[in-house]
Amino acid sequence: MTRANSSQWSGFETSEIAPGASLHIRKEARRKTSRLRISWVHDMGPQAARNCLVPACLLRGSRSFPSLREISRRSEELWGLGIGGSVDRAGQRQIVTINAEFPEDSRLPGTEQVLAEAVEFICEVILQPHLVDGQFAEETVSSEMSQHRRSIEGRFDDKRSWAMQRCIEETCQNEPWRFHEYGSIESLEHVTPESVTADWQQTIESAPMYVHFSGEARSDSLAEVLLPLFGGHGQEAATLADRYPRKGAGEVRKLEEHFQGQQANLVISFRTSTGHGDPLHESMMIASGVIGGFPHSRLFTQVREKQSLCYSVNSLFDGSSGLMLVNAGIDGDTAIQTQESILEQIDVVKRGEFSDDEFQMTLDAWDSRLSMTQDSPSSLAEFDLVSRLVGRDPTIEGLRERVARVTRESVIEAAKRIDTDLIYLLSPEEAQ
Amino acid sequence: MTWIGEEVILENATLGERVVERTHISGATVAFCRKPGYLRRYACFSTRFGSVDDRFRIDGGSEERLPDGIAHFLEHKMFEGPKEDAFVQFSRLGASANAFTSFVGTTYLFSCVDGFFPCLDHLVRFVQQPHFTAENVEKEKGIIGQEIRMYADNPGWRVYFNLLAGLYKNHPVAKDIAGTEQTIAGITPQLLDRCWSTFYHPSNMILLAVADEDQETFFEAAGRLLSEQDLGPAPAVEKILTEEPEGPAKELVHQQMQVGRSKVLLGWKDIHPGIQGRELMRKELVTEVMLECVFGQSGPLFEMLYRQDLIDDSFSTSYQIHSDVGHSATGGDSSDPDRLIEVIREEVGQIRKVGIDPTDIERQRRSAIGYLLRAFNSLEHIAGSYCGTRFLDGDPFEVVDLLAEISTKEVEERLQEHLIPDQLSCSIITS
Repeated sequence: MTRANSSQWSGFETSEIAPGASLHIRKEARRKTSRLRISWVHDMGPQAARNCLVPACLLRGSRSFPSLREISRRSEELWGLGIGGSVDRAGQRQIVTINAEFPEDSRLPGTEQVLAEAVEFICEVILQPHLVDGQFAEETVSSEMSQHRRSIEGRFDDKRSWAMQRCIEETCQNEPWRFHEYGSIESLEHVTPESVTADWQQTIESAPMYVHFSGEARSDSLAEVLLPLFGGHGQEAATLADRYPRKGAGEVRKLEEHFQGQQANLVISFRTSTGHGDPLHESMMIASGVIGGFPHSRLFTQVREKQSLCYSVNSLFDGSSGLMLVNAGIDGDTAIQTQESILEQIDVVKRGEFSDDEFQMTLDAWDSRLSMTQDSPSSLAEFDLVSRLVGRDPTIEGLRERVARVTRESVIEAAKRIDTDLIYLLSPEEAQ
Repeated sequence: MTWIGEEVILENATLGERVVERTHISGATVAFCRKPGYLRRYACFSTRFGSVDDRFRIDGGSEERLPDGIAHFLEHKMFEGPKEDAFVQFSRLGASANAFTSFVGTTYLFSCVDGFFPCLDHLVRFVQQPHFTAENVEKEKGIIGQEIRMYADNPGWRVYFNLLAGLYKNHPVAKDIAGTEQTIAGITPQLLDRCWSTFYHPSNMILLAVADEDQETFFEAAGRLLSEQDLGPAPAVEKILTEEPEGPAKELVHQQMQVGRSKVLLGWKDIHPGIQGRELMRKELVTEVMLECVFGQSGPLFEMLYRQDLIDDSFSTSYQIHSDVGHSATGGDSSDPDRLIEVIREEVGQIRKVGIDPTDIERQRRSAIGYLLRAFNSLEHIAGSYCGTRFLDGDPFEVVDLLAEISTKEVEERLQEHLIPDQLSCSIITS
């Protein structure tokens, strides 16, 4: 336990436990449960699918609770402790997480307590999995590989998200932004019990590790209760790749793909040449917000409400890749009209022809969204972690202040950087 | 005089929650739940008018029949104002707003950090001031048409509504909440107005705030807002229920659509006309505990199915209850839907012979307390739970007492009565 520094709004008290391993504790008295998030960070790349198998296999059994059923029974005994694995991304990094939530001791009947036992259980799940001859069981690995393969295949079932991912893959063919956090089926081919066991060991020993705890934290010895979670971490952390440069747009490209269904999904990718740390980053957030993202935004009021072209329509700016994506669920026959209408709305913002009202509403909406985050420990932990990974100031207050300083002029300046890259359409086969 | 009758206080020490409820002179139920320390404020205005309300009569008059999807269509159209969309004013106030239509109700809501009371003013006023024109109604058909197609391409949504179509022969719960492009085609401003004046009378509505605000300031504001418009006496509305016979409409509904993963749901149906309030909640809870014992991750079936690669972690179970009917739905993604149905049918038969282990019930009781503590962190959950149970004349916090009361025998009886082959219908989606 060495130096501690506290951030103002996200309110986490941070301690560096070892090189590349940090503990973040936030006192939260308003809620009835504690939340614990244990995350390991990798570079996005061909290894992504293999990394996903680690939390999946860990949750299949531990030394004292060696099956899925016994893990579940123990969770129920611990007052319905919710435990699960997840895999997310932050720019070019992949985040592998074990999440847990359990009641505050003060909320339990009589003298019942759960904190210490819950952490002990989670610790065992992470550090003492059920191994057979020193490895994850063959049956566990093959079952989780099969499950993960189907998770990758199942991505197609959410058409909007699928269309957006296909658009990113085609836009960023040689950039790390193209990878999905689930990875690819091909990279699962050579997985064995030995390789998953090695991946688990490597993850807990050297992957950069972040533990976020939010709860009543009444005990003075809370940090000591949580320290065993770092028991597998070594003295040397893996080095992550340097930040990949953001690219500008080339020639505008078009791509259409088909599926059997009823609604077409139009996704347009734009290069903004703007990202975290750029003086115009927050102005680009607001420009994207004036364009889409809120019910007062131009895509909603003009493309949806005035022209009746779609139900869902949105714009999303990613400060890591510098991409802005606009998506709309439409009738395939109106693709050209919708595309023109979307581009026209962006031109309106570039020309500064949006109202003061639209500008102010977007500032207020962002401020409100950021403020609300402070009621959600999981959102705060995510904001804190992602900020650290993408090089953003990890305080919500800091971001709110920067958003408040955005001017109309800087929004116009940012909007002028928006260049169309790829117009992607996923359309029903009947429309061919 | 603003309020009538006695103030009602609903509270629970285990959950640490308290709701104060008053009845406005207009007939509206107004409720307040204080969440100390939360920055976010939430309020909703809900009416008991959902997708199942397809037939009614007023003052004993002739039956009026509504097209499928009209409650949802009305929800969309309420946001239309003479000058601008109601959403825009919420944005101007720094709030985010939304609405949703369920089987039994329609809810308009906002959340904000600052300016709670101006937002509350806007919420009550826009829901009480419809603005339907021939032009804006026609325009909405295109937007909702795209929403209907979006759900038509969503296999998770399809597998559930196909299950309902397999379970119910006549009941309107089986119909898609948004209707179809055909059923909404004939909707007119006059019809929307008829629905609004019938079902949006304050006596049919609940106004609820879950917020760290002063209670009396809230009731004063709510009382004033609801008194702004005199909408006259409540119409004597009789909702006409559709009688549902025993047994499913179809044993299997199979739809082919391009999917990455096949989907399957098994549903068992209940008919229980005439039960309400505590009895209904007890039935719901006992069924949920029973389903968790049989199909939950700690039960005998889940790991076996998982190890056989027949299910994944999307496998779940739930129970949906209405005043006259109910059904459970169990399933998720599967590599082999036919085999999964076969194995579950066999295994459920075996579990019914062996019965429920009393230690499972004790563990579920403990686990459910933890689940409720987690859930009641959420402003949306408190609001949803309050409105949902009040629509069924129940108490949202009674679940804690009921949890302590239910016995193994009761859960066992529910197992024998509910999971029977005669009431089973299955829904499958494959490529």
